[in-house]
Amino acid sequence: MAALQATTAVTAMAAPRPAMAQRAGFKATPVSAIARPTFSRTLAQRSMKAGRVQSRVVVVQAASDKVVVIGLAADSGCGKSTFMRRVTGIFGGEPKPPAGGNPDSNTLSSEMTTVICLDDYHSLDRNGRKEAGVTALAPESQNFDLMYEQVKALKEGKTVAKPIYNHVTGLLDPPEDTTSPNILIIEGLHPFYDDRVNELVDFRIYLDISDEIKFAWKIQRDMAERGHSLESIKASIEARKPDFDAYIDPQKKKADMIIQVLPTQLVPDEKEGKILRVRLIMKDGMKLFDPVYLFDQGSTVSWIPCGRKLTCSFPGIKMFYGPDTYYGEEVSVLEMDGQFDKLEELIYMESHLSNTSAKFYGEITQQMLKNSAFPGSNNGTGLFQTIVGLKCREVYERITEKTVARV
Amino acid sequence: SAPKPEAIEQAVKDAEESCAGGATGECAAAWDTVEELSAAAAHAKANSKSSTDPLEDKRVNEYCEDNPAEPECRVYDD
Repeated sequence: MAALQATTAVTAMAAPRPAMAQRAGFKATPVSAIARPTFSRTLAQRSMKAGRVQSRVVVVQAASDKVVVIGLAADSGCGKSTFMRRVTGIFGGEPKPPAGGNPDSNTLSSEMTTVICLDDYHSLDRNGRKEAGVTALAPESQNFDLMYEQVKALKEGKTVAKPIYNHVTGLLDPPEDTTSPNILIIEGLHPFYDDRVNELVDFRIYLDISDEIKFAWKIQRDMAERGHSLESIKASIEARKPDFDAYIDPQKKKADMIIQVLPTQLVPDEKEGKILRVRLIMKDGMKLFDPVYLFDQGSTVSWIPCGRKLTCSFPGIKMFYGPDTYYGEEVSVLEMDGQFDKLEELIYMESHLSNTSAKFYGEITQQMLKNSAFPGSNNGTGLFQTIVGLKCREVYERITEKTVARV
Repeated sequence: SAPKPEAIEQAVKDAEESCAGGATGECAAAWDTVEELSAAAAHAKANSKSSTDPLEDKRVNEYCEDNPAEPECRVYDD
């Protein structure tokens, strides 16, 4: 302490004191990711009425210009778009299609994220597939060379002219300019199929919907709306199944996190697909994220939160957590069966989960409430999608921080 | 924009016809078209759905984007 004071005194004599901000001890501390209130009394604050408290907002800051690529694989009609809205919601801002461009563009961008739909890399349009007798699931109808080139270019910070596959007309429309975002999300049928593309992806997510649930969801989607018959829905699933099993399903072995949606075990013979058993399968030992756990990491826990502390309506909620192996790899599995009716249940469960990557107590619940109109908001699909979204943020922060430290 | 309901009906009809001869590539491709159109219709519907809160309704939001000075659209952020 004495030595420090002495040097300060010497420098003070030798040269004019440097400005406060330039001295090592007074360097501004790095701004943390949590938005903190500033206590400076600005004019705006003085005039602010006491009753108006700003809602708590987490702002993720772009720490470097490194682009993080997140991949999401799932079949059509499995809730990819809902999932995308939950993930982009965590990074803030409303994702919008590119302004003034093609009205049928599949791209959505917000301040931090850009979501591109891999259907844009179809090499054959609808007519071409019909003539060749292949589905969109088959790798022959996908241009992986262009996909690799453009994802690589976007990751390097370049702008690309990306084609647009028009889902209404089934044609490949003229390309649109896509600029490089902070977070690039590629979603579609084949994000991990091609090894070159797979290597560019930093975080891989797979939505695995069991056949029973897929059937139930498509009935809800198509039968009431469009008057499809039960037979036509069944025939559609059956016809696409060989290609799905051959090309799409094997990608889940490469995923870092898998959300598996299964029929409930709480109610015998539940056919509507309303009550779900949802499993979040998380690879262990990954550098970029830590798996979520319930009570005690590495143990096997079965937990029914309903009881004296929490009243649940039929059929209640059942949680499960434990280690497992998935295609020969060590994983942690978190499972939720049943659905919640009230907010208390969610915050009660959130308080017993650890390593959720939340920035403050209750963030998961807050995110779920914000998106309460989305499908799956009252069961494990919404809960686990939100948790995976928080993990995406953690992956982003770990990658960008690492780069900052190296520079 | 959303695909027309007639287009989906036609696609279902085509698929049923092309599958009459058993499970071929054409049959799978035809049902894949049905799936693609149904998904596009479902997405279009999800995007246009009005909220249950009349003030959050999409039509109100669009109106207020065009006419922010109207009394029902004014928001003072003080």
